[in-house]
Amino acid sequence: MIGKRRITDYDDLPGPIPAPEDADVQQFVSFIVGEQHYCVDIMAVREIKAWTGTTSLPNTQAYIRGVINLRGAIVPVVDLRMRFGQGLTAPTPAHVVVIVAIGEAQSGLLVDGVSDIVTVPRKDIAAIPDLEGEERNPFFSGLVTGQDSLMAVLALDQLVSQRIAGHLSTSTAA
Amino acid sequence: MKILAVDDSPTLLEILVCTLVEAGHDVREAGDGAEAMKVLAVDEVEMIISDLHMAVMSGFELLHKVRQSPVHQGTPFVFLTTECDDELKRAARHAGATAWMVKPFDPVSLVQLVQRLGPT
Amino acid sequence: MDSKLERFRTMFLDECDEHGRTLERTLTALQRGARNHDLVDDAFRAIHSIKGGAGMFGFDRIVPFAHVFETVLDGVRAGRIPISEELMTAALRAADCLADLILAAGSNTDLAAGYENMMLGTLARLAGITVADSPAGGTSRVNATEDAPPGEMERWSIQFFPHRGLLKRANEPLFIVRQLQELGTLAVTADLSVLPPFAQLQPADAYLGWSFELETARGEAAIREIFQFVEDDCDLSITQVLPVMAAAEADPAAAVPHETMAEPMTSTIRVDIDRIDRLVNLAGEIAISQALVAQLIDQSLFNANPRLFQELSQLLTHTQNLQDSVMAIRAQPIRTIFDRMPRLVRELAEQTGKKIVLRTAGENTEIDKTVIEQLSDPIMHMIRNAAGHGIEDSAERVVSGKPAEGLIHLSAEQRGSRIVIEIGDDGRGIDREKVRHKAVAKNLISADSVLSTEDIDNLIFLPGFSTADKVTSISGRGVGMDVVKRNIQKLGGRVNVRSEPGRGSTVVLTLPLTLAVLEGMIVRVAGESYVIPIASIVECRASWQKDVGEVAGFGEVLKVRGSYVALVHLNRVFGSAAAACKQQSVAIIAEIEGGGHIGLVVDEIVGQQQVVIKSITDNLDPVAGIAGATILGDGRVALILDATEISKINASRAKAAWHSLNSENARRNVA
Repeated sequence: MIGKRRITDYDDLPGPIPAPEDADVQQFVSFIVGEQHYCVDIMAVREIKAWTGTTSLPNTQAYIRGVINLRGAIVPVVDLRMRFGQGLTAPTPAHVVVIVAIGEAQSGLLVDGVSDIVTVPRKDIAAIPDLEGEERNPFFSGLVTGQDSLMAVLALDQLVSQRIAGHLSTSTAA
Repeated sequence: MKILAVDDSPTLLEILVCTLVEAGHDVREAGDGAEAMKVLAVDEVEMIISDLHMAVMSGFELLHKVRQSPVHQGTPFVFLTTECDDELKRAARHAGATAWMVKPFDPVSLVQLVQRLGPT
Repeated sequence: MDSKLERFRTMFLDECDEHGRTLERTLTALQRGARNHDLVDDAFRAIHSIKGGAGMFGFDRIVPFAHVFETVLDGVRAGRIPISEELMTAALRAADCLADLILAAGSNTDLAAGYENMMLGTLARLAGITVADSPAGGTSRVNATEDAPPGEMERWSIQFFPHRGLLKRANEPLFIVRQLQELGTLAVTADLSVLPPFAQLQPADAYLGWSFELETARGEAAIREIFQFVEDDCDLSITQVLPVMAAAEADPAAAVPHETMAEPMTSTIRVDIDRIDRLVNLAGEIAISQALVAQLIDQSLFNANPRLFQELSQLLTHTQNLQDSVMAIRAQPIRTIFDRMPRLVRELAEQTGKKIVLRTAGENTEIDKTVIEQLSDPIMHMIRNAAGHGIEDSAERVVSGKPAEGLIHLSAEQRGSRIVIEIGDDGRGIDREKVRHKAVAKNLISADSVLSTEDIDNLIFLPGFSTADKVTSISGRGVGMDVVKRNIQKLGGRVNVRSEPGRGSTVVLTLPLTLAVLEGMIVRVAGESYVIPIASIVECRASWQKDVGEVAGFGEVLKVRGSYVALVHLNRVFGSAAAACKQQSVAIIAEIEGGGHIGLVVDEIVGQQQVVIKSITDNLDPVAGIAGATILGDGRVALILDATEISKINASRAKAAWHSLNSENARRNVA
């Protein structure tokens, strides 16, 4: 079970984490949205910030809450709960924005909290099962199996793409 | 070999410098005669390659001054000339130039020339 | 062309631009009557450099042309060819021709065969040479040892007796001997006949001579080549061949070039423009951080630490200086554009048959590189207008008591944080009757509208307006002043015209110093701050409610000076669709592309300030209605609004609503 330690207000993750002896592992940052745990490749995570509000953007998808000033760069913040079709988050200063790099761009992911940094042996990372007849969930690129839990690995490049159609995305604002 | 290249055309100077550096020489550069004199005042070079038509101080004047300086009196001085400047060639040799290179020049020939005039 | 030299090509083309400018400057001055020798020298050297470089890069059409041109200037320099206005006019045209040749070579296009021949002929005639005298093509004549195909072994007897001064030219006999050795088998005998007793020996003089017996298959040419630089300084004989001594006839001493005072060469460094952009960004960041810090420090901290105030003030000054310096890096003198205009005016004068002279001022005024690139077309367009419509032909001018030569005046000046560029002429001025008439005829204004003279003059900026009775190739087709105005506005600037009938007109462009910064009006809408560019704001109305109307199928409109503009409640765009209108809200009337206006209702106006523009598209797809963002003093992001886009969105929404209402009604009626 992954600990529920909340990490807030870091500006940077603790320095380069020494790679474990076993090269057959991958490291993730895990976080919570609603009741579920998710994780993202640690190499993509740039920063973790506390929620301090956003400047809202008109004429964009409802799951884009707005933009923030990240040391001079204008970075959009995606409400993951909304993105997963579970409604808007009601953010508080305890909520966390995970800044990730997607290609050349940066985005912020609004989550309820960050749990931990986990090192997962590759054998424990499974592909998403192909459910017959149903559209593949585009947001996840894999599943991490732990002792008694299952964590979905986020496919970052799919999250902010505005070309995602399908029943999991939300309607665009008028 | 330490060589001073002088030309008031930035492109040509760049070509000169790059050609010589790539051939393994240590190159100083100047955009006109006056700058060249400043370089020579602090650096001893083993060869000078210079254009003749320059602003501020022409190649001729530079040559003249070089031949008068105690340090570089005997330094080989190659001047750059276009094909028809026969009179100029004569005048330059009269003023103490060692050799000439015709413009436009083939970089390979330049390197060969430098090799001929310098110590092996 | 040698592939090794490829990387220098762009550098050379840039250099040729510089030489082109020098030619323009010097030849124009000489044409006007200046007789300064330096001008001729500078012109000569510019052409000489172009010729030299062109040869290196294999620009075969340029070399012969430049050679003849150079010969003319050389003749002038030496006093052989007298300077005259006619000669200099030809020279200027030749310089233009040369510029074209360079442009073609640089872009790998071909000018029509024989393009330069007429000019070449004129130049040759003036120089007193026949074109056949000029050297063929630009292929390099190389001093390399031509590797002669190894022939038969031959025996050569070489006598080499250096003259006294050979060493003074830094020629080293030892090297010569070594090179001979490389050709084949060498036997050497020294000749000591001239060697003086030690006491009289001058170390810098050459006293030794040599006899060589050389067996080589390389041929005589290879041997000669070794001696080519010392030919004049020695007695040399290579037997079995007719001696080809360097022709030693006494020639009149070559004209020794004067020492000239040229423009001092400033030292420069080439920098990637990305690096500069990053630097500009960082400077902006520092300014913002510093503002934040200043905000956070309250009085009590100052009281506790008096020095804090002092140091903070210092910091503010330094930051401002840093920002100014960094902005200055991207600044370039406007000369780069102004320099192209004399040629344009020359061509226009020729085309129209009018006499026109161009005066420029303020060429050194510096402006951001990105702005400069956008200015060239508008300025050229306005000069075309001045030459085409403004300036009368000489006969007409003389009749009205003006000098036969028309004057076009181009100037740039920095005033505060703006650059002001004026393009004026002393021609006939704007025909106000005609302009007004045209505007009414095209339904741009109503027949009874009351307009000041200035208003009438500025009607020419309305889209669809053109007073040309016929479209000429000079003023172009349909590229009107409205396009000019739009382009300048895109740069954050404004355009105006003032005119005096019979005396002339002047177009005034006002531009911000840099594109990275914008003069903005900060407004509040639904609890957040937004920025509206001041350049597009026409008016702000506090009590606008009484002038509101409703147009079926369109939405709300606001009456502004006799016409109606669409009205958009921004708090409904950015806040909730049903937001109520605040009591003290303000309607801001802004210009949009295409000449129209829009009214934007905001909750309040906070103030006006310069903001650093930040892109939102680095991390995000473009958002409709938003032109960019900035970071205010409190660290929060404020979005910069795009009035034109908001207007478009509003229009399409109204249309959609109207259609759905219509189809709803249609359904009801049917049912």
